[in-house]
Amino acid sequence: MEHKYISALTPRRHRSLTLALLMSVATFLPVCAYAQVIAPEPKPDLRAHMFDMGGLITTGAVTAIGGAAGGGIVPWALIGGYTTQDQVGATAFYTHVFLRNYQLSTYGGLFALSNRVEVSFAHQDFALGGTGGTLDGKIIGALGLPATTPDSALPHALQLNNANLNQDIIGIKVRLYGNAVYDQDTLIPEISVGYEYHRNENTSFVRAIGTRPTGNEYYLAATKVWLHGLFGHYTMVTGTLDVTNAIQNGLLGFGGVGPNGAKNGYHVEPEFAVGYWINPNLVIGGEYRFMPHYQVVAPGNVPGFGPLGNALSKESDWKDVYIAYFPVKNLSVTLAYADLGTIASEKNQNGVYLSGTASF
Amino acid sequence: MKIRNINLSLNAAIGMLCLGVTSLTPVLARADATYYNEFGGRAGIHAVVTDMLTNVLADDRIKSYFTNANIPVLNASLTNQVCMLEGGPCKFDENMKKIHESLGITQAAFNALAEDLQKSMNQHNIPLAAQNDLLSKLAPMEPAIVTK
Repeated sequence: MEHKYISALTPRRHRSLTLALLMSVATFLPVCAYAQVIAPEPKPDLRAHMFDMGGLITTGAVTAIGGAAGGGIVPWALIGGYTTQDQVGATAFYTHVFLRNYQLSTYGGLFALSNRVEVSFAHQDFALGGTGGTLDGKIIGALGLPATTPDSALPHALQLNNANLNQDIIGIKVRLYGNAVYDQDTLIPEISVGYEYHRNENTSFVRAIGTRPTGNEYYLAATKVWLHGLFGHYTMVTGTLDVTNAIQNGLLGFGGVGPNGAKNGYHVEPEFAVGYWINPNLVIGGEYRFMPHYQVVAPGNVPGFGPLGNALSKESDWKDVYIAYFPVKNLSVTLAYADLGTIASEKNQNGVYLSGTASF
Repeated sequence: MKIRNINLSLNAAIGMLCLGVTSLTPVLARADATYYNEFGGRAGIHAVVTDMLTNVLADDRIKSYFTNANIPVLNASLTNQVCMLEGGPCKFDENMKKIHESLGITQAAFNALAEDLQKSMNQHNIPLAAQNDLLSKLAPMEPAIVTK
């Protein structure tokens, strides 16, 4: 990355930054438009360019909570960072969501290769806080124990007061077709496939509610960017098909057994994201993620816990509206309002979502 | 979502995408002469190209490509091309693939030049929609220009 380049932007901050974010879209074009004018010899050292940020549009530096490049809750087809075909890049992010009863913090990063492949990692920490104590009370009731039973009498896996649910996610995304920035003369989007391996660390808790601690998630994402879109501004639409058996994205495990005694299999869930660039360094948009809404009625490892396991597993579709600001091209700050619905039997889990991504 | 709703959701998904596409189409079809005027006509475009080339020649990422370039000739040719792309009364009919095929231009170089152009358009206070219109016409030339 070229610091020189960034400082070169300072003279006219607003407008020049623009450029920073801008997609580099355009033009070598006419430029060399003249064979007789330009001699073919100069060949810049490729290695000198390996870490230049070649990408133009500012989406390279926003990360979904699963670690993939995307919005807050929906992975996009774009490969993270700002790599072109000869480059490698990386991003790192931190996200905090302040929900009504819970807090979700996530950090991670990704490596990107040649605008073709990204390999990502994310660690999610979902803090139950005092609501965990409330859940313990419900568990004590569901097990038919006296209301005065202390939390400590519960199996260790179900002692939820101030507990945290954690999961690690390793992901890979491969761009199959298209380039969302360059392909302005066609409606065909950039298309990528992705895979995420989730490992929930609260093994005994998820087994107690009848789900499994590890899961696989597959997705196909299509992203279309119009540089001259709505009102002449950059405009983005993403549609993603997610194949998953996760409950609350895996924070409450995977699969489990449904009401008819059959295993909860994979669901195909659509996800959508839109973005509109007010200027090249300010994007507003929204996202919607359908969720599987599994019912989990298996008793799990704790007798009598089935009905409560089912109640805890109830989930809602996730959605958000966001505004992302890029003070410079390789840095983004995203502020969102997220509505994650019912989580672990507590309704109306809405709140502020704050996220930052830096790309290198 | 229950299994039986998947079809419904898929249809909704496809419908939303199509809706997005069709609703953008009229906006994309905006008359170009407006933008030609917002660039300040041929004279304005010439000024933008001139400063873009100044930026390029000071840009360590790509200036080596231009070591042997005849800048005034390049300037005139680029001015004509942008003028034509924005609906002005100019003629540009060079074959972009042919004139770039021996230059070994990388995507990073292509992008860097686009940034230098954007910088110049900002210096000249070209309205954002006009800038984006030009970028959207230059971007698809990437396959013809980038050979490395």
